[in-house]
Amino acid sequence: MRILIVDDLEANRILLSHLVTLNDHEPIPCGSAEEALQSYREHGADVIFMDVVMPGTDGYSAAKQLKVVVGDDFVPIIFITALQDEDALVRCLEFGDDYLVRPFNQIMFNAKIAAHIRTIELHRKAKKQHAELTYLHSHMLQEQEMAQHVFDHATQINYQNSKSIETYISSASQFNGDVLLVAKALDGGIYIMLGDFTGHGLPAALGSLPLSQSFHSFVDKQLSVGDLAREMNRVLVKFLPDYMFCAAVVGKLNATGDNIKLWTGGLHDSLILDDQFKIQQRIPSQHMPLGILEDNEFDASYSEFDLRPDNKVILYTDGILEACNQEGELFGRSRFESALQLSKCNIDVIRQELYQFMAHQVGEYAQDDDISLVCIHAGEIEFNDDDLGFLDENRSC
Amino acid sequence: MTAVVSSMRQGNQLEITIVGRFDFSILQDFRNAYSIVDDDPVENIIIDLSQSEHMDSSGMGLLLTLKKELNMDAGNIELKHCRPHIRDALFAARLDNFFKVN
Repeated sequence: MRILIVDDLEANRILLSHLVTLNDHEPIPCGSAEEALQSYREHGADVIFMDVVMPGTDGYSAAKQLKVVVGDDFVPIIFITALQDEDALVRCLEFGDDYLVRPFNQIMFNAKIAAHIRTIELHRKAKKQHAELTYLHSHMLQEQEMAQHVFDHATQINYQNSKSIETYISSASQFNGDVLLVAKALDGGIYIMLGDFTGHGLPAALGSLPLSQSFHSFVDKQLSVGDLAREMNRVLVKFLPDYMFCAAVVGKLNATGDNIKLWTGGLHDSLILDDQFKIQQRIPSQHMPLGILEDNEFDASYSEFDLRPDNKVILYTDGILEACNQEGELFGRSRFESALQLSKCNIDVIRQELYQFMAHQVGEYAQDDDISLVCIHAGEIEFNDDDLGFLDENRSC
Repeated sequence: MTAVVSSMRQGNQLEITIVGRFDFSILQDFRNAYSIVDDDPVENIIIDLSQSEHMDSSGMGLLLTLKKELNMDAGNIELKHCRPHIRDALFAARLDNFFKVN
């Protein structure tokens, strides 16, 4: 290490240089504060020993100026002084990092150097790690941006375009671990799938890519919801690691909107609301989530429900029940269900209520999990002009 | 706030205790807890959840991994002392087909 020795007396410089050399470091003797500043600017240093009382700029002022030049680096300044009063020593620690009172012995000097070098090494390590983290972080942001781009385009075909389906979807991070797939069936009905992958963020969202691709390739085969679920399960068992799965509901509303078939695996109870927006029927999960069972264990049985035109079918992922306020209180089932009824199933009102609950009085909220809420309106299906289910080749993606 | 996983083997039975949140963050500890039976299999595994206040889907994923990796039969893995909401979540995912839930 390069060690600056700043002292106006040549005898002191020679003595200290000698001690520094004995410690296998390189001494740089300087006769004045000005000389020290210049030397530091030109060649740098790792540790500085500084005399307090010097003609011209004294040690304290020199230390002050050096600290400015040193900036973010850590270069300990150790004052060497014969002054013994408390004030002087406090100033040593104020302007520098340590002091050594004359007369001192060689053992003390060596120990001081060793101690400060340990601190320097720690500081350098921390600085290096910080630089690495900064680099990795920016690298990660770039990768996420790129992944975001792919996801946006790959899932663009999934957005609902039917007036029969209203949704509120909010992801906890840049990537959504919930997936909503909607496609027009050849017979005029609608296939819909709502899924919630294990966890959230990018790993959870990854599963939605193979899922959405195969969903759209299977809907034209007029499969039952059970068989569609089976195909989705097959894809996920193949693509996902063992510890990941996708709790899901796969449904089909017929063209006249008076019958819905549901395969339910691992999501909370789906709900059918009556004309007063009260819960007419709860549809509990019948199966394990997708992506767990092998094909030969898979159960494709599903349930069928007749609907009146004023019925609504509610599908949702657990993010809405587990949304948390500042006190750690959950939004919960009863709040959710009464919000459905009081808002007359107005998704926007429910969303605002949920925001208010999470924000409480603090004015900001943190969302821990992805939230999806889907309201399917019974009654004849109407599609919007920009139909879904058929990829529009001219759409600019 | 990190959960603590501990395990104890008694003859043909391995008991794993989870204190804290049962989620993906305990992946390594959880795997270590049952890796001790890799060479010398047990008949039953009991997972004590009396001190685990929260389990999310990633926690269930860990349970499925355990079942698959140790190739255990349904009914030979018992989840003991589940809190009511954890129990509900396990039933919603129909994991009661794979595990004895108590």
